[in-house]
Amino acid sequence: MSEARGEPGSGTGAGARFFCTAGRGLERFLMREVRARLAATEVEYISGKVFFTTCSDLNMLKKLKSAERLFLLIKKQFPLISSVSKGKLFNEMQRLINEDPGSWLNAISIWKNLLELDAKKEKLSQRDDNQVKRKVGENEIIIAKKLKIEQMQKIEENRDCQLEKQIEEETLEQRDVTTKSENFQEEFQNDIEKAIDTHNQKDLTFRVSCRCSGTIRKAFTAQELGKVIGIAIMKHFGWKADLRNPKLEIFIHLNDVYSVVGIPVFRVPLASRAYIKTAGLRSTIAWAMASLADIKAGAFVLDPMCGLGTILLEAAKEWPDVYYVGADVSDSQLLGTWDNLKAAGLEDKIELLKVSVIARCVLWPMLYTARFMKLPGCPFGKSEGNVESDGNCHCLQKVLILLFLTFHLGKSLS
Amino acid sequence: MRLLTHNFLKCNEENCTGGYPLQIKLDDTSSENVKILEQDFNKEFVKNVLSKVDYDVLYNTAKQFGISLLFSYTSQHLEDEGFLNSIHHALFKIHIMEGSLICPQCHVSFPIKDGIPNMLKGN
Repeated sequence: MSEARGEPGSGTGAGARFFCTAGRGLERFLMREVRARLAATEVEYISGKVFFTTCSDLNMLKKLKSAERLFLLIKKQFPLISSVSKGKLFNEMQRLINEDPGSWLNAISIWKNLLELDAKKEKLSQRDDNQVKRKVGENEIIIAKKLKIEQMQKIEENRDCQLEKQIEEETLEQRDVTTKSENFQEEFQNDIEKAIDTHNQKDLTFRVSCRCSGTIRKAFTAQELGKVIGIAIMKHFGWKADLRNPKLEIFIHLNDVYSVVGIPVFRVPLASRAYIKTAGLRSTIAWAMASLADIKAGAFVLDPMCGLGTILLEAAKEWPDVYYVGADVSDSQLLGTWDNLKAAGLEDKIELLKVSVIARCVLWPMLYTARFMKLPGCPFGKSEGNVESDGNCHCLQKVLILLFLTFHLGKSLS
Repeated sequence: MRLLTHNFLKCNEENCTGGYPLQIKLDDTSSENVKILEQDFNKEFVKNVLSKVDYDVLYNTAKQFGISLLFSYTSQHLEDEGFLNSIHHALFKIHIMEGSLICPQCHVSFPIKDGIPNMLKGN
């Protein structure tokens, strides 16, 4: 992924340049998704991040399903050399700003435009009474999650991005939000208004979120480096730092392959879904798996080990005119799935069964296709293919054997 | 559990060869053993699903719930919204909440609780 010097954020004329963080192995899905959903151009990826240009508004951007977080690109360039002295490195970092302040201001104005457009649309739709009621419901969930995630983000700020930790920490629970909902509704609006309400650029308060990995991490802490950038920003633009509640957040990721600077477009990660009450599998992976099944309208889709139903939820949201069946052997999981279905309003789309995949099959023979695809990083097996049913239906057992072979015995699938 | 799901379930007892279709027995002690829930009607979807179900089984099962469908249908009926609506009602709107599914051959009983059939309880 060679680049000439640096890559500034582009203007709004040809669309804005964004990047998304994505879990390892999901970059391929994300690239396909941005092309399909956002008509994105200049799509490229470096491990963990996908860069693209698009003219889409916030509404469409919000719909990205295989991305973790979305950022407006300020700068992307060659990695900083960490083997030099501290002084030299700090100079390098300051050059990120001083060299091309235009790209910073440009990105910020694009960001404000996007939010303004979105706020206008929100105000229009809020005139309709029915929609207000629905939005309050949605916002309750969004805001409860937003708050929880913001708390976690503050903890995570100076650590490396570790997906496994996020999965553990993100067991979001629906609390009693009825009393808080009015306050949160206002806060949510205030966020947008705050961001827009900076007629004078000097009013901007900011916070730097720095992540380091690779060799640079061994030499310096993320905190140190974040501070250097923060001071340089203050000097150059005159903004004030606010660690608790900034209007603008600057995200910097430094590693052995690149240096990237961006502005997070949303406070809440895209991966956190408003419609999933209790997450089982990570939502981005669940969506990617569902997309592999190549679901078409009128199809029958079975998840024989659905757990909390995450894959089915993602699938039902994306491909609604389909008959979904979720099965699991555990009562408590099925209850959890039912809860999730109710919270998402999808109980009429998904049927549940209590089934064991190691018992004899309970499904009346019908032709089926089980699709498998080897994801990058998987060390064995054919790349992809279909398993077709035969006259004697042992479909659930077949699925189980497939999984057993791939994960435990490492046998090649033929 | 909808009648659509019932259309695909069979008995999985060892040595049972004729376990389809399962007989539905409602739980009379429960106050709400069947629910009728509204669901959006999608013509193409219903047509699609109709082509995949065992129609005879559906016809007989719907009778049990007081729905009399056409005994058989032709491709002309597929354009008749009234017919499709009746199919839609039978397949999607009837929810069996409490009861059991009984194998016609080996008489094993699979309980249905809260609308979820438990296919593990081969008795």
